[in-house]
Amino acid sequence: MISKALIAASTKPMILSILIGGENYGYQIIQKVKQISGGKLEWSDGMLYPVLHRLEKDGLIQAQWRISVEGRRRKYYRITERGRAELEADMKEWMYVHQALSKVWKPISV
Amino acid sequence: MFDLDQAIKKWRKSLYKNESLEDGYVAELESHLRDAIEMHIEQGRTPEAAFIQAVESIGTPEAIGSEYFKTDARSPLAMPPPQTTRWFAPALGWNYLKIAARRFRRQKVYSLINISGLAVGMTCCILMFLWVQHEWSFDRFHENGEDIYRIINRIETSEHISLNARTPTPLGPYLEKTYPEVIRTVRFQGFDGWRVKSEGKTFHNDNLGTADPGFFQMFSFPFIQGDPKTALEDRYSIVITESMAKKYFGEADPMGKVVTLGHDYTVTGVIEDVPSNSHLHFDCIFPIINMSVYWHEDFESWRRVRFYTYVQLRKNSSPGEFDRKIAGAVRENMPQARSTVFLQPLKDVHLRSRFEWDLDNYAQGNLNDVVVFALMAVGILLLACINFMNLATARAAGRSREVGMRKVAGALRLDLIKQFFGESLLMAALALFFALLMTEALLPGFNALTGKSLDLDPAANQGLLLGLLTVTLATGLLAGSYPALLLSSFQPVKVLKGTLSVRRSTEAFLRRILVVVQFGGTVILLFLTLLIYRQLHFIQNKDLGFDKNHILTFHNYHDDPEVIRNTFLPIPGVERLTLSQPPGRLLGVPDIVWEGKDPGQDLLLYPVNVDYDYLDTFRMEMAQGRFFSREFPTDAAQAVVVNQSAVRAMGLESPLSTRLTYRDRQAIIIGVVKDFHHSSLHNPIEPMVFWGPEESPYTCVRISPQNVPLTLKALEGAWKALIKDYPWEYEFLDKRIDDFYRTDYKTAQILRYFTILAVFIAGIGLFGLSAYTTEQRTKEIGIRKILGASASGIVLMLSQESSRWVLISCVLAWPVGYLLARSWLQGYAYRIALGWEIFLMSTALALGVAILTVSYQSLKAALSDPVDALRYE
Repeated sequence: MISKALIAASTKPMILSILIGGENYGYQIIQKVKQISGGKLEWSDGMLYPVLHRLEKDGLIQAQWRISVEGRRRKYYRITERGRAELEADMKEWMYVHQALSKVWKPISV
Repeated sequence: MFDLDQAIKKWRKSLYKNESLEDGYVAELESHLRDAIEMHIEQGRTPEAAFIQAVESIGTPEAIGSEYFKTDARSPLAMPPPQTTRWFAPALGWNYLKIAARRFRRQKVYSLINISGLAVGMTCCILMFLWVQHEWSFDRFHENGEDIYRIINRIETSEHISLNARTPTPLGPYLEKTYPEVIRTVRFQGFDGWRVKSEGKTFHNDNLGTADPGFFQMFSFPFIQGDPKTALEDRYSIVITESMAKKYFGEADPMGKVVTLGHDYTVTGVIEDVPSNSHLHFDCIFPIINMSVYWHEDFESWRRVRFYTYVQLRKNSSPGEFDRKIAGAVRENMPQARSTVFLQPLKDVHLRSRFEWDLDNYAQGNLNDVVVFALMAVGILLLACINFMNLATARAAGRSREVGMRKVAGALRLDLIKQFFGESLLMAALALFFALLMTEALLPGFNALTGKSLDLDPAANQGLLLGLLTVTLATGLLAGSYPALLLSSFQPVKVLKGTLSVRRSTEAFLRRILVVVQFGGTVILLFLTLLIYRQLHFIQNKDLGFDKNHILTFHNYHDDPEVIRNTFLPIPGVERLTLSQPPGRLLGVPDIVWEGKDPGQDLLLYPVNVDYDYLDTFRMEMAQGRFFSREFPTDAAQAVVVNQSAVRAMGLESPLSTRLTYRDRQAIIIGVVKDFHHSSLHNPIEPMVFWGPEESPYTCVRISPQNVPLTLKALEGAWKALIKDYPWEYEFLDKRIDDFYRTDYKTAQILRYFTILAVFIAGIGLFGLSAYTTEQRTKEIGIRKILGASASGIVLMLSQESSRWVLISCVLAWPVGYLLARSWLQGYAYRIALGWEIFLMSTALALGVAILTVSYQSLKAALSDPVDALRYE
């Protein structure tokens, strides 16, 4: 299991990365996260939405209510230019950390 | 069956309870939930399982809410996220108490007005409750009480219906013999003033009772010694109460001891003292058969009507049917009788008896009084509650800031309602405490007034405990209702900005309405009090047609009238003496026949036994003819005198020399007495027939107004020399006549207290209110003064307003007062006219109280320095 603090830290880049691949809504985002991490990143579903709200408030993503094909109201999120820049910066930070850790660690199988 | 849509709806509602979650957030979460459920169902779960799983993975509303809150809050220090679990907040309770205590301290006058008003109202309620409870408890302690009835005798003539509490002597045994549903019947009579001797001691102030032997089987008076079934079986047995036993025999065992009442009676039983809530009142009971000696009672005669008859029915019998069956019982035995009988339930005897010749050795109750006084007590409490509401709403502006702050800090309307109700309940509880102290202090006086011996013991009196709780709760809720609902409705933004003035006018209007109601009630009470006192004054001063002053009456205990005359008449100071019946209650008889009487006419005439000196002693006047005279020897047996009412009732054109027959006596009318009031002014003057000299049980003596004590002493000396066995006891006639109106005086007195309280409460209420309005207008008054207004002008301006409303309440109170007054006055055959002056006087009084209370405040404001006023705040 991944620690809470690490999950919290990784949430923002994770969401932004998913949204790079095109606009999406909450439920799908969570499904994607589960899929990517092979179930190792376990979020409480409800926790995603406050984070999305925060990102929207910070201007990293944009949201829009739309009626889906099945006739359900859904809030779709799209990444903004500022979001892309933020993600790039994040990626750099994460990669530094990753490289630094890789140097001191012997490879283990995950 | 699981309903997915319902479940989702419920879940959504649970989210809405969290105040961090706004509509949009909830919609998004719901959309998520539906997606998740769909997925779970596709994976083969039941809708219910899918729902549960989806809800679980979303997380609790609190957790999500607090995450949103962190995002929305401007600063992490701002406030903790709202919690849904807030049904109990002890810290807040302390705060409420603190605020309430602070308000009491800072607003001493208002708190005092509120609490003292409520306490006075509650005291009234508690006293009345005790009284009503006692009145209501009468005769309910008998085990067979539900099956016991008293028989009432209804005598109907074409002119008159009279309901008599006494029934023909043989009625009881006849019913017992004839009707199987009767278990037993008992005849009872009580009297006092008899001489009772025992072991060399003589007493004459015991309540003696006489009854059939089944008395103690029918009624439950607990025996300390002896057997209720057999105690009265022997003709010369007697059952006495515990305190009579103590009085007669001290600590010695009373059983088998002898008590002498003309004959020797052996004590066969001792019972506990008769409780105060029994209409049967006695210190001892002996078998009724002995009355054949004392009263020459003929137990076979249906003409004799001297006893009260009680009947006990079998449990499963129908009283209604029995009532119909026995209606004609008297006529079955005496075909010429005009009487029918009916049942009166035992528990109604105390409060619902308005019969002639009822038991008079105890104070009869009156259902009307009970209802009226209970309503008045509640009314007084209501007046006090109005004060509370008025002052609370008037002060609302001052508290609105507190309300605003509380709301801003997250208080819901419900919280505020709870707070204000809590405050008013606290007030009510405090008032209750003072009310209990006041009740304890007032109870002796109240007991003296009502002639009862009530006590305040909530521990032993569960009804009272319940009543106290109810009164406190009701007072708290009622008094707090309006302020709680009004104050809690304030909108914090408006309050804190100070733009609350919109509601002021409606609120002030409501306050005025309440003042009008309050003063209206007070005016009605004032009006009735004035009316009753005027009527009583009228009664005391009305010319009764004879001179009631300086006459004293006493019982005759000597057989020879001449000896009595010769003993008392020569005493210096004694002016006149007559052996006649003094004014008082009379019993009408239907069987007086006169010449020219229409055989179909039934007229009750009231025979009065008098002697030759009757007219002169009482100073009555003749209208026609002459009174009895010793100069006409035939007067003794063959003459009668009637009064003017009798002449009118009999329809005689020239009454003199008309022949009259009453039972076996024949006489002619020799004179007509001018009408005078023989009994109370409640009743019209009875048509009376005065019969010539016969043995009378009374002596009436007119004494000179000079040296009354000396004359009384001489009379006493003469009495003691003549009659050795009986103590010297006499009564002044004017006092005896006053006693006709004893209940009226009592009513007047109670009403007066109520009125004083109502005026007090309305007064302090208005005082508080005017203090508030004056305070509100301090600046206005200051400016007016600077612009040249005079002090008197300001007082006038401030008083005008409240006077106007008080006047309106008076006008509204008049019709109600008029109706009440009219129905009360109908109880008097002779009464005052309902003049305008009573209306005006009550109005003037109410207005006076209003102006006095208001003008104190206005004067204070008018005389104050305008500089201080304008520096206010």
